[in-house]
Amino acid sequence: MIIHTEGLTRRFGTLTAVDRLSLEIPRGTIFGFLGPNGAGKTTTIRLLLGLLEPSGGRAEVLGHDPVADGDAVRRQAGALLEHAGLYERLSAEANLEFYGRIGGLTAGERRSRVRELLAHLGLWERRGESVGSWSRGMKQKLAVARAMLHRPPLIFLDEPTAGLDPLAAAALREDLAAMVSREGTTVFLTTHNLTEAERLCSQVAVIRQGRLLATGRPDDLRRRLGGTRVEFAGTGFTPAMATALEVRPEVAGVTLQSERLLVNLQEEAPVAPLVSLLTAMGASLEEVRREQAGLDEVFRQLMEEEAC
Amino acid sequence: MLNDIYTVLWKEARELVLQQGSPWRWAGMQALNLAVLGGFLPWQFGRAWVESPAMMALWLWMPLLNTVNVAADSFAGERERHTLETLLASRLPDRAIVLGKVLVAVGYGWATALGAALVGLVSVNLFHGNGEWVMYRPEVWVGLALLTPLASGLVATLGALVSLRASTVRHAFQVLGVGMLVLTMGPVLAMRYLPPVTVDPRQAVLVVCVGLVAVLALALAAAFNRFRRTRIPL
Repeated sequence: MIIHTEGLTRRFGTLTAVDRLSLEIPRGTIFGFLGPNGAGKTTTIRLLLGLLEPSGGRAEVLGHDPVADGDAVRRQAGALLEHAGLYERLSAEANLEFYGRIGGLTAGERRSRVRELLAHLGLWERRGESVGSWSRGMKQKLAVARAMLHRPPLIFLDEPTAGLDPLAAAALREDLAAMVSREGTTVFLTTHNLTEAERLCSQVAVIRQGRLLATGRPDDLRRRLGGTRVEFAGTGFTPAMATALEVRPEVAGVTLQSERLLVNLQEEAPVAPLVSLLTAMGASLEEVRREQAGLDEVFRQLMEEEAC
Repeated sequence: MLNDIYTVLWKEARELVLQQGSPWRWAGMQALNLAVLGGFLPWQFGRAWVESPAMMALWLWMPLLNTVNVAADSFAGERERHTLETLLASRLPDRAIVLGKVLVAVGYGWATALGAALVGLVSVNLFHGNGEWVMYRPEVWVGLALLTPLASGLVATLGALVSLRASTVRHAFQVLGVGMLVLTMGPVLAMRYLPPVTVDPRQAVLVVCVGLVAVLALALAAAFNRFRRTRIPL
């Protein structure tokens, strides 16, 4: 395991930002740490990097205790934290040069690595410009490059696409996925963007108010918590039909729209009995589509369960 | 450790030179400073600029203005510009970060003082030399070589200590401004109310140097002690 935590807790006065968090993150994965704003994601990263002391529990990162041996953790980790953390008066090249020196790269290694990363991200031509004049998307790309510069075995990315427009976010995601697969790095990615988590992560954990709600592979979570969604398209749907479906044991939820009826099924339940029921009640079906629930539905369900 | 200090120095120096947007604008500001401190003032003061022992106080005080600016920005500036957390998340040792930031402030203050002293010497000789070469007293050279960097070091370290906890550069600068006032006006007031004593300038320089070294060592120890990654407000 590259990260292992046991009952990790951090309190700020009366607020518990991270509450008895236990995680196991294997090497070579992109681990998605999902949660709404204020869930404790950033605090967890700070604890794992040794920038905060835990109020309770323990953590082991890259085989080291971040409190007692934070230097060893930080030596082997890269980070893009809440802010890009770039020196805006300096050029892109100077920013990477600085962190390359910190990372212990020789002058030759720095030159080739900076060129390699900037070229890969399409930023090489603008390497001499001061970063302050760049768009947010370009800055985020540069910050990702900085995190990967010294080829750390583990990188922390705290909401890397936050505040980016959809095109810039998609471009950054693509670059990130390509670079991670090429370099074989383990990534601890926090996000509240579920599409991002779904596309990038091989493992995810969902956190709310500092508490871990679920963890596992996205497919497993979808199967375990989201089940299957069936969309009935046609005419003649009535509230009575929705009620009749809702009382069935295999149905987790029903949403009635003008010419659509969306039904969440508990597990791999058959759809045929529902079709029979609806047609018997007078609905005219034109199409029945069955699909796996998205991570967003799993997330919503977890948030609702927790709120109850 | 030395490499790490140099790395921080390298970055800080670049940021300093680019603080006006371009290195040329920064160089222009320094040239203007030198013109006032090394040209205009010596021309106005005449030979006293070089010959009066009282000018020692100027060489102690002058670099502090530049040092205090850089020191106020050292940590509070990084916090304000959201670069502090990333810097702390790097593997740089605590002491390298503190020393790198202090040394760049000292270097800037000291270089300004040395530059102004040399340009001032040339100016006085040009405008008021009357055919003979006027030179600073030996104590002034010793002061420039020892007192100036020590005083800058003290102010830079205290500045870094304040900046470490200040929420903004402005806040750090306000606190340091009051500190500077006490530091400069305190000795002046003390001299006014203390009985007059005749002091050998060389002895005075030595005593002040030893005192500054002791206080600087204490200030540095306090800065190292206060610089705890887990306790620094981000």
